[in-house]
Amino acid sequence: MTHSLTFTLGQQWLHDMWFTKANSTQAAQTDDLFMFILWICIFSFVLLMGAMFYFVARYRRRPGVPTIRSASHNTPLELAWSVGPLLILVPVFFWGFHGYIGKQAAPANAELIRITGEKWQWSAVYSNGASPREYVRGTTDSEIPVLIVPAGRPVKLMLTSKDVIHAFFIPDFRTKIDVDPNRYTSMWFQPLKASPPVLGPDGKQLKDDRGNWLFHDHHVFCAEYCGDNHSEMAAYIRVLEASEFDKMKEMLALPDPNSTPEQLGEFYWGKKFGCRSCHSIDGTKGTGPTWKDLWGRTETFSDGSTLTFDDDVAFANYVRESVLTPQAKIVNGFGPQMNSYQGQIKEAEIQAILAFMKSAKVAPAMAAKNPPASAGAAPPAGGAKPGEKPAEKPAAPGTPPNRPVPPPGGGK
Amino acid sequence: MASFTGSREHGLTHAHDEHHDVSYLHPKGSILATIWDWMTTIDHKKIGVMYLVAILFMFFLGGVAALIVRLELLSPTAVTHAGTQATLHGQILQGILGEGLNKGNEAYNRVMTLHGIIMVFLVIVPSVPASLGNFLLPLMVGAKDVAFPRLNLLSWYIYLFGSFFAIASLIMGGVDTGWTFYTPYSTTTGNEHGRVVWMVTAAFVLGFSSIFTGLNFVVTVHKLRAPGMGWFDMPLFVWGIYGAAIIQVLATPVIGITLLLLIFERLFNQGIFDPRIGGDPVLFQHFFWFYSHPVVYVMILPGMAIINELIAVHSRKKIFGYRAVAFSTLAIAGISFIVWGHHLFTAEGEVAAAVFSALTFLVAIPSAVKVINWIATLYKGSISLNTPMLYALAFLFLFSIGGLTGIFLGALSVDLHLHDTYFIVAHFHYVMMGGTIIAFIGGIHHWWPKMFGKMYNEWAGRIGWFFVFVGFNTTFIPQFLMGARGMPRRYATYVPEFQIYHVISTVGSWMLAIGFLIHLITFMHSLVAGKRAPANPWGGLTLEWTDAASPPIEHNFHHEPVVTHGPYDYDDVLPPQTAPGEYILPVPLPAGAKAH
Repeated sequence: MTHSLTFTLGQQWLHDMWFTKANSTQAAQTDDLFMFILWICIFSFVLLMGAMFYFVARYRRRPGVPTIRSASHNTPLELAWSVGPLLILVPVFFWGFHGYIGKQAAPANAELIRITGEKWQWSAVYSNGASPREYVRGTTDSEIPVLIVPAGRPVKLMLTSKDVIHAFFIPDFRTKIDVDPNRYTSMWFQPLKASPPVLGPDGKQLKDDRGNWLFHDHHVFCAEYCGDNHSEMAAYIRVLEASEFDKMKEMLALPDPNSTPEQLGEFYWGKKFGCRSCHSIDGTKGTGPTWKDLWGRTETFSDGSTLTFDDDVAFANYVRESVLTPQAKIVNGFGPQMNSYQGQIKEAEIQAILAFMKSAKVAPAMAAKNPPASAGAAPPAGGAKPGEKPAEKPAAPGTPPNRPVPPPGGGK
Repeated sequence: MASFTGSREHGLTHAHDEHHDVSYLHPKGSILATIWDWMTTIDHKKIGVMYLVAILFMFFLGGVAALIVRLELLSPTAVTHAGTQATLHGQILQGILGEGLNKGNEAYNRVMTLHGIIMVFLVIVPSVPASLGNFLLPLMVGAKDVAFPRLNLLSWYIYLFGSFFAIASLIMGGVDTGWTFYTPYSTTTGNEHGRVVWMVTAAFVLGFSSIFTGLNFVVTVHKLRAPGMGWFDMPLFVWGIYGAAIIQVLATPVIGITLLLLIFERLFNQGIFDPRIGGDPVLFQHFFWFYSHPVVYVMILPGMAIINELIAVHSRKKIFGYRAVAFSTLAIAGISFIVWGHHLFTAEGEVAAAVFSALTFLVAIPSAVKVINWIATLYKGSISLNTPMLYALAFLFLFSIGGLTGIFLGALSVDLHLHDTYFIVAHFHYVMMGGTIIAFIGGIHHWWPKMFGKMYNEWAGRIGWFFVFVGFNTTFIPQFLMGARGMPRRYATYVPEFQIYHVISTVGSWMLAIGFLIHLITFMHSLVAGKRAPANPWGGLTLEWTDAASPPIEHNFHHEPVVTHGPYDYDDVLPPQTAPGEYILPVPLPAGAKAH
């Protein structure tokens, strides 16, 4: 993109020495102001140092040369160099404030993406509930999510943290914002152009070792110190043409076609039908019973009858009944809160949910969500399911925003 | 030097009086007795020298930490692949930091934190006031000691006590919070529970040392000035130390309370800063910077104070616009209290950001006035390019860069980009190190003959200066560039496109180390084999040069000095052609009289 003002204020090469190539509508303002201040600094510095070096050379102490008397005070002169710098700084202040407001106030039609930071990863949820699925291996074998955004359309990020303070920093968009654990903050940007593909010597787009197409993505860094792997807490932003973005966003909302039934079930539980809002898989008591260790459990119902979930057919019939006519049997201690999913859920989806409910005993998704220490303790090959091993395939479709943590040190 | 040796009527007849007539460095009998004498001394000079030794030792520790940090950053993933790369620095780092990504990163964070905490709390904050300030302030105002000598000794021991907490925390494995202790990270970080509390306690205790020293200086300046010394007859060094002392007294209690709250939260689970128990983490940032921003000026004002003396004495000129420089000291001290919010531009609302941005530009003005006045002082001077003066010129060069790059950070939209990047790191190193530490090293050279009665080797000093100056710029200029290009601070690993800048920066850090090593050897050599220093080797006109021996006697002066001329009235007092060290000092007029 052309910075006409930047080019006027400084040579393009001087700009390129200080900055990476920008790709947002607000970046040019920042670059222009930076170059303006840079010229103020160069001018002032050359003036001050020129005077200093000249005086030092001209008035060096030499034997036999008498000293010269001179004034030690000159009010008009001193006033001039007190007020002068102030006058230069006033426009800098207003220019800076103007650009700052431009980076704060997002247009109403902006594409909203919710960002969550936690030690030491970023996760994102698009407005349709979809999450990034592609990960790139970083320089230190860390797994870096690729966040897609549309070109030429405003994007607003709403950010919060699960633990300590982080900061979301996109150098190529020239902006950042702190990400706090006890509130939501926001930032916005409007990307200018789609990220170009990485081309090989033969002019064809390259792929990485996992078979993903390579693009010139924008770096996202965590800029607020957050502990051990602060420097590994990164993301990539890939700008897509707006129409392609819309398609990709919809695609990300669908399950991965290569999923196992359990992964599909987890996707329906977590994303599509939102079962997770009432039914936990980690034993937490919700509006409905937890699915943890469901298989093999004996439940007592409000009418006094009991059922032990150890027979596939009885289990399937019970679950099917509960999904379609939830009030038929209520587990003791819970109220009749659930709505019927009659007409909304397909037979295949019930099958997948059943598979996931049975697997909730071992709770694979929760195992992957554990902190790095315990994940690293598990044997890297045997402990994780195929779909969760990032080295073989992108993350499982239903994986919650927290991506699975790769074994530290790349399994060395 | 008749005026120094002429006070025979004070009697060499009494053994007791003789005791007070000799240099303060004169040993008191046996070695044990001498050590006991130093440990219990209330002599500001001895306390100043002890501080100097302790601070230089801490500077060495913090410097080694900085070298490790720079070495680690030599390659993007040095620690991770230390074993596999088999490079020399990879192996060294593996030895120091441990193997594997997590361990390496964690160790890096500890070393980085160690560097910050030591350099800020144990070196730069106390550096000039506690060492040179303690030694020189009473001499410069013509007093026998500071106003409260016992309090002075107490603040020295509190400093030692606080350092003990810091070192203890360090021996137990150090902390990884960064020197800013940002919550909730600092209240939740791992099992270093104990160590964080120890380190915060260290900073808390050191604060008291700072308060007592500041209080002592304020009272000394107000009450103990020699007859004839009005406020505007004080050397500008005294003005600078005075301004810093006011900030120390007023701002330090805030950090004391804040750190106390932090300790409370960690030990008793009181929700103050941790959101999980009802606190607000950003509140900590406000508290922290309400102290730490004024303290930036506690760090820089004494550095500026030194520069006044170096420039005046070594260019034999009255400081241009003495009053403007003195008042700008007070202006800086005042405005410094209302600019803390510029550390939170990415964390606060629009109105606050606008207000703090405007105030930040305002605080730049007094600093600019000082720099311009110092350069104007050189005009028609008689400039001697010895080591102290070279350091003063280096200060003007580096501090100008530090100050000017502050404009980028004060401008809001640009700050959103530069905040928490290496641009900031470079900026505050240009101000804190290029400002305060450079002035400090220059000041040590300048007053070395006075403090220890020995001259140092001038050429060795200049060579050391060259390495420090070139090494400093080599280290930190690349950091401006990589910061603007997006390299965040406090990163143990980084993306490969930043490597070239890091490599240059690391090479610069080695040059800096060589420079400081040369200075260390120069000083050692001077203590052992240096030429005896005359009372006034540079031809200064302030009382420590004109009325005190080198090194000063125990009670500083034989008679209470009487100030008969301004601190920089070279043209009035001295014939234009006297060589430095051979000045004929003016005969003191009767008490109260002034020459101007």
